[in-house]
Amino acid sequence: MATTPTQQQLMEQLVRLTDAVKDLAYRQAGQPAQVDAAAQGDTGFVAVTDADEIRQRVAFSYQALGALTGRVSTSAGREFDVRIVEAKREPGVVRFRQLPAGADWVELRSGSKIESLRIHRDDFRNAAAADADADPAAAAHTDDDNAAETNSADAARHERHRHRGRVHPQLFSDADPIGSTVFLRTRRGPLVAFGPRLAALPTTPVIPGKSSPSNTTSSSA
Amino acid sequence: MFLTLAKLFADAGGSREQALLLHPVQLSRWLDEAWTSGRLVPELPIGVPPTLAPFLGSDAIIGALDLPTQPPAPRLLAPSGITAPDTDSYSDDLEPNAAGGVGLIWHHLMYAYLVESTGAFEIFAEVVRRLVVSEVLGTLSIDGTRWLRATEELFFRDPPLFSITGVVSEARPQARVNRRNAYWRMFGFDLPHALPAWPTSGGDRQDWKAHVGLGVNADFRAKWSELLRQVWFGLENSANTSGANPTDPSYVALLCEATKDMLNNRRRGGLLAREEFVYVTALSWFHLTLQTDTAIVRDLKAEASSPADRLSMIAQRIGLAPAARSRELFDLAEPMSSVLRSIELGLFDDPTAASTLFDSTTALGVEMRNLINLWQSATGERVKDRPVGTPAVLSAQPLRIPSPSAAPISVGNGQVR
Repeated sequence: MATTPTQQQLMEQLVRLTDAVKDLAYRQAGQPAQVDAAAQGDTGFVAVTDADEIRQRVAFSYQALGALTGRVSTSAGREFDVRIVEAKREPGVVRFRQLPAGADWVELRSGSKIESLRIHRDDFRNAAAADADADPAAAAHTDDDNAAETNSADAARHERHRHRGRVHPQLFSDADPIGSTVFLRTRRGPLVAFGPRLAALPTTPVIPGKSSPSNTTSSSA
Repeated sequence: MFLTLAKLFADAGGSREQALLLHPVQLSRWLDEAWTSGRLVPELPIGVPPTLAPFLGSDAIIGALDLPTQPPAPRLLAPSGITAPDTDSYSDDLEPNAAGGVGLIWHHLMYAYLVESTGAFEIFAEVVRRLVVSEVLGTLSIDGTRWLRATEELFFRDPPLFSITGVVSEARPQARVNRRNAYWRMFGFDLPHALPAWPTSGGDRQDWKAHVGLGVNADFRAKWSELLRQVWFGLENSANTSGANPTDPSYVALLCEATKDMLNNRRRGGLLAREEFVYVTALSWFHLTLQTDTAIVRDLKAEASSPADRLSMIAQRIGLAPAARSRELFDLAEPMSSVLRSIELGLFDDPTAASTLFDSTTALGVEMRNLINLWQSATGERVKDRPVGTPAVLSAQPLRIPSPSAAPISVGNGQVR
């Protein structure tokens, strides 16, 4: 039996209504907060509500705290294998190494001051610039050998720089300490890794002809 | 703290047991570095206002007690020079986490209390005594001898001068009594076993509680048990789609906040921070010793499948017995430490955040479920049960919101009512 246009519209409305009810039920049940910080880099969901975001941060903080106290994951899980990213501060820029896949945003925090920034990933096309900043010796090697690079060398360089990135903070000047660095897949989550506390850069005047001061964190003992 | 060192060895490709084989002077220096590295611990990303690392009551306490930054060589004190996973070399460098990494943070004082409650410290004290004064326990392997030397030097003699571990003095001469003092102040708990007749002696054996004064969290156990009960409601009803649900995240948040205020009252200005570091360090050494069939465990012919079983077998060799619920106490130590530290940091002060405690899909929710089972078994307190046998209307929630603790009133002559 053929349906009339009115029946067809009614059916479409019914389908939409059913979908809406399902969606509502799904939201009420709530999506799970973060289960496995290490795995979130590849498969984590993106927080959709403020409550999700809060629960996810609590779960991540608990796991990070466990990792800092030396706790070991159970044989069946990776609950305390939270990834730690190396961070280094230079004038106007914060550089990262060992960035996990999916860590596209970083949140710089100090007290109530928070700045979210998209991470500029280094890749082997701008490797020379990155190397020059990070390791002048490596940059020199790169310049010398550019013409003769093979595909395998390209792959090696690509691999070396795939896990590096940088941001240029606006809210944090070089004189402001950064209390923590947290890495996220999107601006709002999920959280995938954390990094160190970064001390303010020393305010010693730059002497012409000498390299700029840089440091990672304050240390003593 | 030594669990962290063991993890560093494992991450570097070695075994956790290798942390027990280091020279005691390296371990001693590493502990000072570990204390200093507490200032590098990052803040946690849990909203505003944030927690001020290093989570010890005052963010200045680390710097107040550590050694100022040393000038370039020649240094006043050499670094630990530990080069994981090699135990026989020296690098002249600070341990990476202490030299610009993410820093190290130690377990909560509750960890030390729970591990010591098993009797591990007193059992190993007797083992060490017999090993150094007689041959009744046989001869040790080379690695066993290294463990014995480090254990005796680190925990059964006066600490090095001006070290962060120097919490024994004429003012507080007995380490055993000092630990009980800290547990009593923070939790209102005493250890389940008596002070041994040897080596403690004199008035300080019994008087220490009287010297504490009013700064005791006597209400801790009641609040903790109530928190576990409320979290159980949440876990029990988390999958409810119809019917009554007594879960109240707001009340759980209030409980956490009251517990936080209670614990932080004992941490004002960094109080107990150093003591916590030292006591956690000492008990983590013996916990690490028992986690696997380490050299000393093998030497004492106590190979087994769990720390509690190993401890029991070692105790048998010297005619002692560990606590009856050692298994639960060992299993409780790390999760309970993590949860209490999180509570102190205000991780659950918000109802939404508190609901994570009974979210079974998170590591935290899973640990809370285990904690409830282990706490019930260890203490005999049935936190899962609701009160019955009363004609009054049953309610899942108490009437009053929790408060940190009622301040005791001094009525003179040191008496309290």
